[in-house]
Amino acid sequence: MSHVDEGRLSEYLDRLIEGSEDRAIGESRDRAKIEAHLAECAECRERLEDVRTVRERAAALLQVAAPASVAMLQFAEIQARARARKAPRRVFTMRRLTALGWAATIVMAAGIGWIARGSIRFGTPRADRLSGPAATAAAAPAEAAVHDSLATGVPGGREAQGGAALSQAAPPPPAADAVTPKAAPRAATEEVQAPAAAPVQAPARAEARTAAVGNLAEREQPAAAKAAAPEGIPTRQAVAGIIVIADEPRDALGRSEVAVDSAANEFVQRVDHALRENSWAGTTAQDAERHLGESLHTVDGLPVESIRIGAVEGTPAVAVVQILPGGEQMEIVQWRTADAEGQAMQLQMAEEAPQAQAAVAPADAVRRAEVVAMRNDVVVVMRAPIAADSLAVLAAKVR
Amino acid sequence: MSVDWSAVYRETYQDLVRFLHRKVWDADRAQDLAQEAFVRALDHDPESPRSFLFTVASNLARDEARAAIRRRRHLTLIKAEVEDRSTPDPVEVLEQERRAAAVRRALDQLSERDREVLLLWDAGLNYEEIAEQTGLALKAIGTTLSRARRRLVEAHEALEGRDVARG
Repeated sequence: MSHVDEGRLSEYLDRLIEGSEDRAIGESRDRAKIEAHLAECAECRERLEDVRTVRERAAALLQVAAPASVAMLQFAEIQARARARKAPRRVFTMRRLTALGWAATIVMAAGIGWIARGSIRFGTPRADRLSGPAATAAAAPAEAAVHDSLATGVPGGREAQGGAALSQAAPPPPAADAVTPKAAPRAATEEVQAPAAAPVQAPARAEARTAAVGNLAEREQPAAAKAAAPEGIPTRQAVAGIIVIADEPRDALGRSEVAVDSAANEFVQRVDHALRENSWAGTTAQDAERHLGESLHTVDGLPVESIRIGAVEGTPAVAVVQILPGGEQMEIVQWRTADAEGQAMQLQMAEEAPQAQAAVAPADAVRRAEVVAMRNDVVVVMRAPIAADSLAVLAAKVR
Repeated sequence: MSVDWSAVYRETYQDLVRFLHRKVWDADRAQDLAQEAFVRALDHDPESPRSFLFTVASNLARDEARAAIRRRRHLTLIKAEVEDRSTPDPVEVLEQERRAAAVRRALDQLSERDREVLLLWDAGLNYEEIAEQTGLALKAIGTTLSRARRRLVEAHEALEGRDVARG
C-alpha cells in the first residue's frame, strides 16, 4: 500500500476520535488497511501525529471564537412562534387569494418596471437581462397603478404584505437554489397583459431614466440610446441605490433576497452611525435649511412629523420624519457631499445599480427598505417599513 | 417520518449557535438566527432536520453578511436562563476579545468552502452531513477539512507573529 495522504489520515483520525461509523467510503478508505499501513510506515505515523496536532490546535482556536454562553429558549416558545407564523395563512379563501394574486402581480410588475427603467447600464438593455422586453412592457402600466395607489393613500407596503401571504401559501421550492429573486418577476411578466402601446413607450422611458442615473453614466451611452429618450417625459433624478432589508426573510430556506448596493450601503451605514452617535436637535424647516445650506428634500403632500438637525461625518445634516398614508414613519436623512466624493459615489452607484436592483426581491419579500438617492450634490437616504419599490416611487417624488 | 423536534432542538441548538456565531460574530444575533432556523424547520417539517437547520442557518448568515448593516432586532430573544451575574474581570474580557478577533481574522483568510467545511465540522457534523450540506463529494471532505484546519492555524500564527513583532 502506498502512503496515506493527509485527507485520508484526517478522515481516519476524525472518525476514530468521534466514533462515527465508517460507511460508504469505499475499500480504499478502509480503516483496517490504513492501520495496517501505519503499523509499518513511520513516515505516515509521523504525518498522522502532525494531522492530530493541527486538528487539536484548530479546534482550540475555534473554541476561542465560540460564544461564551448560549441561552436556550424553551422549546414550547419555538413551537409557539412557528404556530403563530403559520396561522395567518389559513384565513385566506380562494377568492381572497385571487384578489391578492392580482395585487401582488401589480406590485411585482411595478417593481420590475422600476428596475427595468432604472437599470439599463451604459446603454445595455437591462430589460433583456431581467426577463425579456416583455418585463419592461408589462411594467409601465403597472407602475402607474402604484403611483395611483400612493396618490389615493394606499401604501405599496400594504399590498406587499398581502403578496407575502400569497407567496407563503405557494408550495416550497424543491431545492435550495431553485428560487432566485428573478423567479417571481418572471412569473409576473407572464401574467400581466401589457397594452399594445406599452412596448414602444416603456423602453423609451427606461432610456430616459438611464440618462438620469448619474451624469457620468450618460457620457458612455451610445448615441442611439440617447436618441431614444423622447422629449416631454420628465427626467427624474436617479434613485441611485436601493438597499432592501428583509428583516424576516420570507423564503423557507432563509434567503432574504437582500439587495445591497455597496455605495448606497456606505451612505446608509454613515446614517446609522450618525443617528446613533451624534446628537440631533429638533428645529424648524427654516433653521434646518440654513443648517443644510440647501432647501429641504421631502415628499410633497405627506405630513412632517419632525425635523432634526445634526451631522453625518462632520457634515451638517437634517433628518426629517414624514408620515405615510398607512401611518408608517418614513425617515429622510440628507446632507451635502463634497463635490469629488459625491461624483465618485454617484458613478459607483450608477455602476452598481443594475446589479443591486436586479437582486431586489419581489415586493412580497420585503419588510423594510432603504433607498439612497442623489439630488445634485445632496445625498438623500430614505427608510421606511414598506416595500422597496414603493419607497423607490416615493424617492422619485422627493423635492 | 415523524421527527422528535424537541430532541432535535436539545441536541442541535447549541451546535447551530456555535456555527452561526463564527459567521455573524454576535452572540445574540447567532441565537436569534438559530431560533429562526428552528421556527422554519418546524414549519416545514423536513425529513433531514439537522441538514435543513444548517442549510437555513447558513443562508440566514449569508444574508446577514450581505446586508452588512447593523439592524434593529425584530426577533425577540427571550432568555430562558438567568444570566450569569458575576462580573468578569475587564482585563480578561479584553484579552478574550482580542483572541477571538485574531481567530476571526484568521478565519476570514480561508476560502469560503474551506471555512464552511471547518465550521460545520466544529459544529459537530460528521463527514456524511458535511458532504450533504456543502455538496462536496464525501471523499473530498477529509482533504478539504485537513487543509482548512492547517490554513487556520497558519494564518493565526502569522497574524499573531505580526502582532508580536509590532509590539
